[in-house]
Amino acid sequence: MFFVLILFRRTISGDALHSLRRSLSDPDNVLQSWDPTLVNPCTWFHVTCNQDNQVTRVDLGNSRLSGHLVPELGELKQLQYLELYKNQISGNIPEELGKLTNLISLDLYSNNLTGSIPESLGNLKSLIFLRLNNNKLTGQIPRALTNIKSLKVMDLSSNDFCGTIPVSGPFEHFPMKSFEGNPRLDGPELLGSVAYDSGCN
Amino acid sequence: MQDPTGALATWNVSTHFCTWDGVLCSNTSQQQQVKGLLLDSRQLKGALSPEIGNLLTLSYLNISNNIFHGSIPRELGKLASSLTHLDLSHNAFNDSVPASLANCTLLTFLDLNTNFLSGSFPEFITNFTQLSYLDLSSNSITGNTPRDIGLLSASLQFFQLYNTQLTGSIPRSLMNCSKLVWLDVSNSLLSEALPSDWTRLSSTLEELNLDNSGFSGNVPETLGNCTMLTVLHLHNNSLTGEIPSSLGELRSLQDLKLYYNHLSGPVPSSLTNCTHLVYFELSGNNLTGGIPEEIGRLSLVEWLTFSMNPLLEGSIPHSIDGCTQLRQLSLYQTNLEGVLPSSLFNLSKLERLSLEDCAFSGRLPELVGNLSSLSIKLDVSHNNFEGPIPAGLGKLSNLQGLYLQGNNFEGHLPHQLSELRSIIEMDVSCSLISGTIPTSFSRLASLSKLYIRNTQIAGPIPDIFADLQNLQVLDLSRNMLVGSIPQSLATLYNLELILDLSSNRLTGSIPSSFGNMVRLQEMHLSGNMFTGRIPSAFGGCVGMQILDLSHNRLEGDVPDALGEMISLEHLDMSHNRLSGSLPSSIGDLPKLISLNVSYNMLEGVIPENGVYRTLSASAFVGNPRLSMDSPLSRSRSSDERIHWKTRIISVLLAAIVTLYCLRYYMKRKEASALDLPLWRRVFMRRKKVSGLLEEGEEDRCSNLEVELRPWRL
Repeated sequence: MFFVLILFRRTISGDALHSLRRSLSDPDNVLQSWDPTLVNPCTWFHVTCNQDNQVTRVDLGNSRLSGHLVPELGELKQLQYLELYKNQISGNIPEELGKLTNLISLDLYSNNLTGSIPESLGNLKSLIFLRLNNNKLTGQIPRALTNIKSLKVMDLSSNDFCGTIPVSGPFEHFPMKSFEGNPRLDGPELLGSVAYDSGCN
Repeated sequence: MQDPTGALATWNVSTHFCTWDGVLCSNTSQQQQVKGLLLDSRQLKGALSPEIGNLLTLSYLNISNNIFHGSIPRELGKLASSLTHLDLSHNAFNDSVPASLANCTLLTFLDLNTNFLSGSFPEFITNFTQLSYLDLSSNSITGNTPRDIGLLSASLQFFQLYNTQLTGSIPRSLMNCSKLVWLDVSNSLLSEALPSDWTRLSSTLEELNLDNSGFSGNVPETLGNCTMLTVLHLHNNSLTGEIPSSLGELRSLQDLKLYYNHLSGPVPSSLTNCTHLVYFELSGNNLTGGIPEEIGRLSLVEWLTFSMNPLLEGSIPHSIDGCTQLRQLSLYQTNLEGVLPSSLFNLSKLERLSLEDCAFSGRLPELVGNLSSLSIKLDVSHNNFEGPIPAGLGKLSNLQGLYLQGNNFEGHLPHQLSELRSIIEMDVSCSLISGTIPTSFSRLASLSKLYIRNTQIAGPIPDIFADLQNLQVLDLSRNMLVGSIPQSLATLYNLELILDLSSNRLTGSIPSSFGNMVRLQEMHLSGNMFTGRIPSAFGGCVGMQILDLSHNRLEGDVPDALGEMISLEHLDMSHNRLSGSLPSSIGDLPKLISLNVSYNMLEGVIPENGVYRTLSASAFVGNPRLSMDSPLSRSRSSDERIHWKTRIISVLLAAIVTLYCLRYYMKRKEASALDLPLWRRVFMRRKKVSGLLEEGEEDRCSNLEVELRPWRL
């Protein structure tokens, strides 16, 4: 009967995705099926749910979307794949994305995102794929990312990061091409008795 | 106060204040006085200065939609003799409404909505006997609704208290406010029954929003007297009883939403008199009877939803084509039945047709191609439709979702389906369709999820996947597909979610290029005749959560590289011809929950690391040369208990073996249409690794596709 109750009230995930829809501009009407009056978003296209009707994937890559991301995305607690690549989305990466501890893939590449990578992304303990390349992101690469042991694929190329590149944890294995196209990036961090970090302004 | 956009750039002492932007002065007397401040939507930020109280001639103050914060200054109370219009809405004011505001009894307009105001409802508002417009919505106000709101009966026209934490009921005295035009107390914690007598509001009330709260009891019959009503929102409450037929008197009604309540009884046919209805939504109730025969009188209706009324019965009335403006028709999860009237297919503006989980029968006619506006979806799944899948479906060039599963459709898949150039999801599972998968499906470039499971489809898997780069789910399980995996499928590296080819008659080897499906989450290849080795390239599948290779003819070692599949939760390689020893690398997989290697030809000793320690004997049974003889006995406890447990296990095993033997012989007696070896049919009644239940050898779909039908558990 618990599940009956889920039917009869709006859901947090539906509201979160509806906030995203209101914040995006959608000329191709790819979000046409995102009907806020439906019980939950599991029947919406480009949304995938698990057996408990929790949203596990949002697939909106290459959809000519513009506008901003919203902090409400952090409410999708079972989200595993957030695919928003190859659009014209601008604004910051909301720090609330750090709440998505089940996230396996965060693909925001090829957009117009600005600001820095939130430190909170270091909390994404299940993350395997992190691709933020081809944006206008700035600031330092947060050291918190070195704590994500599962990280296998990272691409931060073609942005405006500064400071040094972490070398510990998963960063030991990332090829240099994951960081190319960042003119102000100083190269790998030198670990030793003297801390070397040119910092950013 | 900060002014980031320079909206107040004109505010400098060198010019007269009456020329400043946003300042409204009176132009009567010689001495000009500030009558009003209109400063909305200027991104102004900061506290509202107490000096505002010095503008003693101010009658109009509107600073809506800025970023003012802090408390509302109590000095506003000093404006008691002039202030008539106060709009502080859409800011960030907090704390409670200052008590000094009680002096402002001349107020006709008071709007504080969308702030962070707290405390209880300011009762002094009931003394504002000229108040016409009141909005305190979207704040954190708690406590009860104002009992004496009826004192404003001579003036109150707009009363909005939505999105608050107010509890209790709608004040009875509100029913005296005979000038009320607009009432909104939706999205609240209000409960209890609605007031029963709305007659005094009958000549003025136009919009009534009581949705998304906890209201109980009946829909008041006297609402039928409020003939000016255009919007009636009672949805998402706990209302019971019948829909009063008096609502048929509401000739101006455009928007009627009663969905998600516990309403019973029939849909009153009088509602077909409300010919201005645009939104007619009754879903999620316990309504009985049928759709009113004269539904076609609603010539302006765009959204018609009766879904989720399990007792609703009868057929779709022929008059449905009178609803010429219909865009969405939702009748799913009802007991509606019969053949679809051909008039249904005249609805040329229909964008979404949801008829799933009902008892409709007959054919889906070629006429379906006339629904040229169908875009979001056409869902007729889980009914009793029969006959061929109409080629006319190919005309629906805007259709994104096509769901035909769980019916008795037969014949071949029409190649015209490849003309559905907008299709994103297609499901033709659980039917009697036969023939082959059309090669023209290569044109379905936007296809994301394709389900052709549990049918009589045969022939090879066509080599069509090179252009299906958006494909996330490919489910071709439980058919009679033969041949090997075509090249374009072996190299479909973008496949992201599920590949299910289980329970077919596929042969050949598992391509090592599957190792490039880096992001694939589930792969099910069980119940086929795959030969050759398990490719060690699978180690590249770092996204894979479920891998089921069971019930094939795979041989060779279990590759060490499987230990690189860091996302793996369930791994089933049982019922093959695998040899060699078990790699310890698998034991260290961080997320592995279940492993099954039973019924192979494995040898050596079972490793003792990681996950291997937690597995029971059933994971390894049927490998005669596999040493079960490790110190880490499968039920770890003291020697005595080991003895006792081994005894129980052997008795159980004997019983299970006897049962399976019995089944085996019973199956032998029943000839099955599926030409499968007996041993495989015996084991077909099994729980799928991913947790989804299968229903043995029946042709009907079980309720598996949760992602398409969220109400199903």
